[in-house]
Amino acid sequence: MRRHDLLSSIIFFCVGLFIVFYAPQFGIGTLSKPRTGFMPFLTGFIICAFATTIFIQALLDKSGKAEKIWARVKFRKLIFSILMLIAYALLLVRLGFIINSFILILFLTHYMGSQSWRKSFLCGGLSSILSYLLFETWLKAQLPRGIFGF
Amino acid sequence: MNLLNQILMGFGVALEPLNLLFCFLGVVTGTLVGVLPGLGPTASISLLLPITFHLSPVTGVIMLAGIYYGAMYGGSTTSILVNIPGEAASVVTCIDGYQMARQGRAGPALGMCAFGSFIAGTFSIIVLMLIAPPLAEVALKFGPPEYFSLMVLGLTLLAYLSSGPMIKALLMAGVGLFLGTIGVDTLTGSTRFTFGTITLMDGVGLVPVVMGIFGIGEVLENLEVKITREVYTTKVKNLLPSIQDWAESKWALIRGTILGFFLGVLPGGGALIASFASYALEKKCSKTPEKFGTGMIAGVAGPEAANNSATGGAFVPLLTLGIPANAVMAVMMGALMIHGIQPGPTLIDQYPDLFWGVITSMYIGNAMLLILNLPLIGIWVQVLRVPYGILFPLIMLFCLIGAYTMKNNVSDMFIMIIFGIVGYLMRKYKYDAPPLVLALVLGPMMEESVRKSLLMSGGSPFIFFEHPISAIILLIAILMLVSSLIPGLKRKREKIEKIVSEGES
Repeated sequence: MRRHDLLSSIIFFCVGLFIVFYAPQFGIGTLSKPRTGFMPFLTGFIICAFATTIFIQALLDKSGKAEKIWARVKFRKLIFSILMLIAYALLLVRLGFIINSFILILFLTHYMGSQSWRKSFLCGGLSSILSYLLFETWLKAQLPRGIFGF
Repeated sequence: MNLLNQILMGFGVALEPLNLLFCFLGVVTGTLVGVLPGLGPTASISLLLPITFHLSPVTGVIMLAGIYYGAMYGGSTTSILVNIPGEAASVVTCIDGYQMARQGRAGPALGMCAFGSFIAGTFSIIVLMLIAPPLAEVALKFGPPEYFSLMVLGLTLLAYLSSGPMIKALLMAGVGLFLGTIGVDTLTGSTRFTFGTITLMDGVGLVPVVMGIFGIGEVLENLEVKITREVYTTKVKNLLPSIQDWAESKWALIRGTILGFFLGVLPGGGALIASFASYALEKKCSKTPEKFGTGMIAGVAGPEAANNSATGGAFVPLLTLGIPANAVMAVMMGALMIHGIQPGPTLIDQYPDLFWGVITSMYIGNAMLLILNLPLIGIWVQVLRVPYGILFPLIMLFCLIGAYTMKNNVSDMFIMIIFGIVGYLMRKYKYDAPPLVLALVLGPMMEESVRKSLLMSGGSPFIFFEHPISAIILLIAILMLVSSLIPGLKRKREKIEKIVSEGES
C-alpha cells in the first residue's frame, strides 16, 4: 500500500490545507469566544496532521509490499455505471421518473449485468412501475413527471 | 409498577396495525438483506430511509430497527448454506455452520441460529428496558464538556476497532467532522463552505453521503468481482435442534448473549466485534478447542447470540446519550433527526411512545423472525439465486430515488454520486467509512459542545480535564490512542484488524 498511501495522504493533506486557509474568512475568533470558522479550522488542522502521519509512515515502510489495487478493475464497466448515474440525475426532471428509471435499469441490466434484452426489458418495466407505485402512490413522494406527463 | 405501565404503553403502540405492518416489513426486508451478500445493513437502512420520511417517526424507526436485527438473523442463513456471510457479523458462523451443513446438519445449525438469536435478542431488549431510563437520568447531569469527551471516546473507539489502520480511521473521522460543519452555523446563523450554493446551506445531507458511500460505493466495488452463489444442495431438514445440541450450546448461548450486549453498548463496538469475540471465548472455554472449525454447534450458537444481543445493546447509547455506537446507529439517529427528534437523555420523557414503542416492537419483531425464519428458509435459499446483474441496478435506482426524495432536489443526487465515487476510492485505498459517517452525525453536536465548553471556561481547554467524568472519559480515549502505539498491543490489534478485514471481504 506504500505508493497508494503516499498518494492518498498528499490528497488529504491538500484538502486539509485548503480548509485551514479558507476557514479564517468566516472568523476563527479566540479560545474564549470561538466563532463560525473555529471548528472547520480545527478539523482542517486535524486532517493535515493525520495525513502527514500517514505520509511519514508510508515513507518509512520498507516492507516492499506492492498491492495492485487497480489490477482487477473493469474500467469500462465502472465508467459506464458512473455515466449512467450522472445521466439519470441530469435527465430525471426532463424525462420523468418512469421513463428515466426504465432506461437506467434496461441499460444497466443488459450491459453491466449481462442479462438478455428480454429480461432487461422486463426488469426495467417492472422496477420502474413498482417503485413509482411505492414512492408516488403509496408514500406520496413527489416524483418528477417530465415532458410526457408521467 | 411504573415500568410495567410503560411497557404496556409500548406494546399498545407497537401493536397498532400500521406499526405492526412496518415492523413486519422491516424484519422481512432485513432478513432479505442479510441473505443477499453484497448489501450490508448500513447500506440497506440508508436505502430504505426515504420510505420513513413519509411515515410517523415511531413507525419509521420501528421499520429501520426491524431491518437491523432482521439482517443479523438473515446473515446466518447464507453463512451456513453457501459459506458466504450475508453481512459481516455472520462471518464467524461460516466456520462451523458450513461444516455442519456439509455433514448434513444444516437444519439444526439454522434452527440453533434462529433460537439463539431469539433468546439473545429478547435478553438484550429486556436489559435495554431496564438500564436505559436510569442511564438517561445520569446523562441529564452531563454538561457540554462531558458530551464532548463522550463523543471523542466514541470516535476513538470506532477508529480503534475499525477494520483498517487506525490512523486512516482517525483521518476519516476528521473529514466527517469537517463535512458536519458545512452549511449554517447553528450558534451564529452564518453560513460556511457553501460556495454560494443553496444546496449546501442545509449542509451535506447524511442520506446522500451514506447512500453514496455504502450503496453506490459497494456496488461499484462489486462490479470487479464475480458474485457466484452455489447453494449447498443438501436438503434442509430437522430444523429443531436435539437435546444434545441444546446441552452443547447452552453455555455458549448464555456467554454470547451477555458478551454481545456489552460489546454492543460500547461506542465503536457492535455485532461484528461481538461475534468474533464470542467465537474466541467459546474456543477458550471449550474442553475440545481443536474441534472448532469442524462443525461444533457451540461455534454457531455463541456468535449468533452475540451478534443479535449486540444490536439491542447498540440502542443504549443512542437512546440515552444521543450518541450512536456505530454507523448503523448513526443512520438511525439521522432518521430521527429528519423528523425533528433529537435523541438524548430527554428522549424517554419527551417521546415515551417512541422509546417504549420501538423497544417493544423489537420484541414482537424477534418473535416474527423466529416464526418467519424457520419455515421460510426454502424461500430465502431461492432468493440467493437472484443474479447480481439484476440486483445491482435496482440498488442504484433506490439510491438515486432516496437521494432525490429527501428534499426533491436533483443536486442531492449529484452529492450522492460524488460520495459514491469517494466511497469506492476509500475502499480501494483502505480508508474505513464508518468513522466518517459517525463523525458527520456527531460533528454539529461536537462543535456545539466544544464551543459552549470554551465559553464556559473563558477559553481554557483544560475544562475537559477539570470535570471529573469528562476527564475519565478523555483519559480512556487517550489510553486507547497510546495503546495503539505500544508494539505488543499494536501487533495484537493488527491481528484482529486482519481477521476483521478478511471477514468483511
